[in-house]
Amino acid sequence: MISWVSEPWSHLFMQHAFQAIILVGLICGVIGVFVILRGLAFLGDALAHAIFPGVVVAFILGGNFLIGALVAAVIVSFGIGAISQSAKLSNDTAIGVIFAGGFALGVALLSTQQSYARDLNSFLFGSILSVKREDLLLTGAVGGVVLLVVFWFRREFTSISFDRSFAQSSGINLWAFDQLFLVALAMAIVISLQTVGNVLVLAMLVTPAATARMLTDRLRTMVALSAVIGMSCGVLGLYLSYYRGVPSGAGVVLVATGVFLVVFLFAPESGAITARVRRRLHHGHPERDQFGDDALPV
Amino acid sequence: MSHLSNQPVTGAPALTTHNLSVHYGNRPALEDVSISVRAGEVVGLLGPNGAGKSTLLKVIAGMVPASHGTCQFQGRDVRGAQPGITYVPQRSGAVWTFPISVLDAVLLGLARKTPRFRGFNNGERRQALDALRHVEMERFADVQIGALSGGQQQRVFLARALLACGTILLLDEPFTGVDVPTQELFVSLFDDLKARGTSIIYATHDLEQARRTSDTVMLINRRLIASGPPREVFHSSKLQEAFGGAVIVIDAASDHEPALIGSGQVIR
Repeated sequence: MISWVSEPWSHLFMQHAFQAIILVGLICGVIGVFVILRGLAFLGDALAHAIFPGVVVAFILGGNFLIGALVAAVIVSFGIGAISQSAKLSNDTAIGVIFAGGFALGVALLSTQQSYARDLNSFLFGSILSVKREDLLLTGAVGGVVLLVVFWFRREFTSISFDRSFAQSSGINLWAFDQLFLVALAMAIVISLQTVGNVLVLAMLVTPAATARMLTDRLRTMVALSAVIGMSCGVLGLYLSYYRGVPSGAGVVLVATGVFLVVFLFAPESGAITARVRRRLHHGHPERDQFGDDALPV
Repeated sequence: MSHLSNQPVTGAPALTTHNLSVHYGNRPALEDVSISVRAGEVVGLLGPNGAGKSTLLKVIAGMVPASHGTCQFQGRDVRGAQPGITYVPQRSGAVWTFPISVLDAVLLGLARKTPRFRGFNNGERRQALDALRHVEMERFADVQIGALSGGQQQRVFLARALLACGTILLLDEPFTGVDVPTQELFVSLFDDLKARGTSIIYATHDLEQARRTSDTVMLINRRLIASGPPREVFHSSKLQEAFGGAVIVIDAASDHEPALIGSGQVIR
């Protein structure tokens, strides 16, 4: 059993992979709480796709992919803001238009490269086993900035997420904080791309936070739980990947989804099945109370 | 029920607007509105849906810029949020499934005043509990906010505003969808705040509520149609101008005063 646990750690590439997924689980777990509380899951997915051309341009020019992604994220957020100003189009329509357009542009740019298929594959599904030490340092540095931003502006983000009008009336600049959140989210997404890939990054943002929400009614606890769940599912997912040959991103996301389903059904207070059982146990049934169990329909 | 004296409030204006207009794109929301509110005055903004009541409150709160004209608080132009002005938004705008306790939601009223590197201390928690006590919600401090009834949620909003303790309190539809005990509590709190010199401006559709709860009623339908004590303002022609066809004027023989029915409401 111990060797089963320790064996993957004997490889350097697996050590790097574990460290990377722990960082990503922590960072996405924390910022993901605000993503789901503000109902921004679609925006998170869109952002991951729409920053694709920025990453590709940086790749082609040999520059830093993070900077390329951030430039793209800012352009995308302004684009979404501009289109959603139209009285005839809703915000999610604007996100949909920009998201598909940005992704198509990224694919077209990448197709000019000789290693198109391999690059596209690693972008879409990640290549966690190729994480190097420099990648880890970059992930840690950028992730540290994201966590610092979330901590420093925690009250503003909380206020905006709970009651936008009151937040605005208390002097919080909604536009500036929305942009800041979007940039922080883009940074979290970018550092997750290598680990879980573009398609599955949404699960790292949404699934641990959703699981945590089922377990608590307190924001602080939810943030801590979401981070712990994100990191644990990441590690367990890598074991699944190592021993079962499942692609790493898929392994991580499958574990996270499985944990969510278990919690959704069996959470102590709010689980779908637990709540049903509790209702049965705690509330009298008028027919059963009057006529005994036989009176209940089978 | 405790209610205000409806006596004219005297003194220098705490807040004035002059020829205030607001346009959302090409659509005018307010046109040429000039008002003056004195310290300790309770003003009911009365008008139908889309009349610009919320917009006027938001301009005063510094949330919406004026397209033309000015809004001045204590002699200075309102640009952005002002420390002395506290706004209580409509209840429907908040995310009630948010994982936050009643106490923490009230503490958000202090969020901008508390240093970033630390959490809220005991003194701040006591202040928040005190505000909750004023709205008779202290025993719900640890409850998740979504578990409260509509009236209780509105009380929590008011407690959050009391914590900021401004010179001017703005409330958007505070009486909508709340139970009678909460309405009575709010009226008595308005009395207390008024006695401390706080001006209260609130929006409502409810003619009867506006009559009972305001020193001054301002009838609004994009323009200011009338402003003054309820007895002066509640004339059939002015109400019909504000509410259009929604107001039917009937005579009430019992007390020789006109009775008005607006959107199903009766005023005597």
